[in-house]
Amino acid sequence: MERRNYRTNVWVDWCPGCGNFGILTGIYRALEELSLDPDRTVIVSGIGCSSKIPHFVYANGVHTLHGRAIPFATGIKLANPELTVIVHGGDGDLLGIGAGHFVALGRRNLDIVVILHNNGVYGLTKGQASPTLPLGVKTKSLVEPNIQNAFNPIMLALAAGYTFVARSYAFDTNHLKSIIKEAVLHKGAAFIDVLQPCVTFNDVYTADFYRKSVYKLEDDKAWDPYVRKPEEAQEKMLRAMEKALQQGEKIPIGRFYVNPFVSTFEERISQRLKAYPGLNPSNSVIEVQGEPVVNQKNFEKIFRDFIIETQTP
Amino acid sequence: MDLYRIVVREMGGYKGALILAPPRINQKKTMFVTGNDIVAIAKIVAGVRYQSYYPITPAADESVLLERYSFIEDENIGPLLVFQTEDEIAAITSAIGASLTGARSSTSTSGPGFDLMVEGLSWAGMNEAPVVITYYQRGGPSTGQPTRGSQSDLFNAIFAGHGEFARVVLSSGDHLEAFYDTILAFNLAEEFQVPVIHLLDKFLANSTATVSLPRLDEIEISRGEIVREAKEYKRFSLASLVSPRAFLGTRGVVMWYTGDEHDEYGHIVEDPENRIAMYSKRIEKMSLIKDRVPSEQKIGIYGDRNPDYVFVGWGSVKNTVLEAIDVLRGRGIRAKYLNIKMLWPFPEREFVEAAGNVPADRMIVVEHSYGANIAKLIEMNTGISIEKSIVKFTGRPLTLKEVIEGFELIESGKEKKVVCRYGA
Repeated sequence: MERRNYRTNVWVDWCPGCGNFGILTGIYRALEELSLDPDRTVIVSGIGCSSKIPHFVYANGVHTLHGRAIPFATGIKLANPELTVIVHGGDGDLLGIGAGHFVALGRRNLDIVVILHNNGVYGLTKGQASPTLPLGVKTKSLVEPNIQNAFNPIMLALAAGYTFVARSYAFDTNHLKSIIKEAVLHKGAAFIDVLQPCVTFNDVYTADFYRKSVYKLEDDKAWDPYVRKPEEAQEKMLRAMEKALQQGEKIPIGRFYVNPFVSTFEERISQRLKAYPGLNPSNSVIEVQGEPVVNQKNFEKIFRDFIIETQTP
Repeated sequence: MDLYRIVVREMGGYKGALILAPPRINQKKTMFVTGNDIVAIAKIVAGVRYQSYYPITPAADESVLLERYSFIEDENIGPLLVFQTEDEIAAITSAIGASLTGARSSTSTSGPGFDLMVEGLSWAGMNEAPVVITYYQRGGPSTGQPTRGSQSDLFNAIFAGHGEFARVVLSSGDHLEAFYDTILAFNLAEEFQVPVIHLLDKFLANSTATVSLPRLDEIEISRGEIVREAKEYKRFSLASLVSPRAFLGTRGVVMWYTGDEHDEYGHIVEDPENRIAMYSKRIEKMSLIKDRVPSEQKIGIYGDRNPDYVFVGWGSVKNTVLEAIDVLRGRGIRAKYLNIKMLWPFPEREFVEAAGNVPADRMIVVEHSYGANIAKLIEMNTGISIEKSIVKFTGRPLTLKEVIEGFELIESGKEKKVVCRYGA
């Protein structure tokens, strides 16, 4: 099912100038260049402005519950590991209400891409502070400055065990597209923190602000985020963390940490279920013409531990 | 038999004090299982391919057992993914995700876990996603009595979730019923694309029983109408109450799901005419479900055909009440037991028929709860108002003696509601 145009005819109802448009363009271009089959690709999202994105992409779309895109996506990917599964969500969605699932995916290193639309606010409910809005910041929709601190999504992803950790900027489409492509091709849990202006509710972290503050890690020829031997992992992670701590006036974007040596969840499962992932929950036989694959004879064999032969006196 | 001889020989020293009758089992083979075991075994037969769970008493043993049988290559069993999630929210939502790919999916839990699953349940209703929730009740509210039994979550299973949508709630009176009902749960979930809650309890989950072998030749696996290819697929086609289902990953088919109100393709729309059509479609499936399930699978009828009294209950009070009916028969009192197996959609026609001419003041509800809640469900659906009940909510199992004594108090007019207290 080859396709060069991944647009749907659904009206894109984000505010004019919203950073989501840049991310949507990045996704279109990544899908195009990877020639992903729409019928073998699933875009999964939570709730929020950004989570409407599946409806704008011609590929299977599952628009789920607030904070729960990752566990829905996990079920989809585990049951049919042949599908390419990409999760989208906002900072409130993935890191506020859904933080537990975000951490769990890292532990598993399941082959899913998570794209964080990070704008520091809850846009859909008119601009409350999200977990990535720093302490003391007052955006125009807040009555008082923020009294909860931000946490660092890159640090959290590294600590949780994501094996591809990167950041990009919504309006640098080429950069974002190349990172999405690499994340899709990476085997294991991939996380992309996409900095995104909210033109309506966040008048602090604006497009202007990001244009001045972001710089590319790749511009430093010495920067190498790839773990090239398993024993390098710790050192590379420490360096990634050091970079991740740079915030404020100069914000790095690019690849922070890529480690292909951690087993994927699919590989761990195949240690237990030998035929997996080739044979999997979505393609294995459960009935033949309405009859279960278990019949009277093999039932007694399979469940012999529970069956007792009785003797009558 | 060998065991019997050993026990009798050991008991020789206590002659006269204890007697053990020889076993009389007229079957060559029997099963010796807990409720958790038999449900897990039934799930294997039903073809479950994805079971998620978060550890909770008294449900976790079922998942642990399933893991033992998750892949038997020679017998075409599996691969079944038994997946321990980070919480019950992930358990239900990942099971729904798996079901969208065509895998028969379920999760097992108890009251506190079910409470966390409710938003997911509502999503499954909105998206017509088949999923089975095996719900073993324990004593609530809150942590309550986590290792003791209860039947106090009837309304939680039937009414939990915002908005209105079709669901099925089944209960089982004993281990063998639980076997067949588990398979029915998966069939109904897929045929009608609804969440199905199999409402069991701790008494059944953890009690071992000797049961006859299930008859596999009576079992049918029905998955509803499945689309293997389509030119322009509409996941939520309004052409029928149950839209033909394609799985995520089917070649040539693209679809959208959303918790928002949606059009036939699964895209968000607010149009009022579409709202009426889609909202109604999701609810009106209930009538098809009622037609599909045979009467005997809705209500089990036991005891005298022309009774003086009708006992009404569901789930694991069954065998105690049946024994009580036998005892009462010995006293010349004719009684009947109605074991309500399909709790939702409520089988009102079958209930009215089964109750026959017996007036409501000769009906007695037996339930492990404070509220005798099945009486309220019956009244809501049939207008029959049953005021008499034998209830127990200490978490200890109901005894035969309690049912008999409760009956005597009610029959004599001394009590309308008897609260049982036996058990340390």
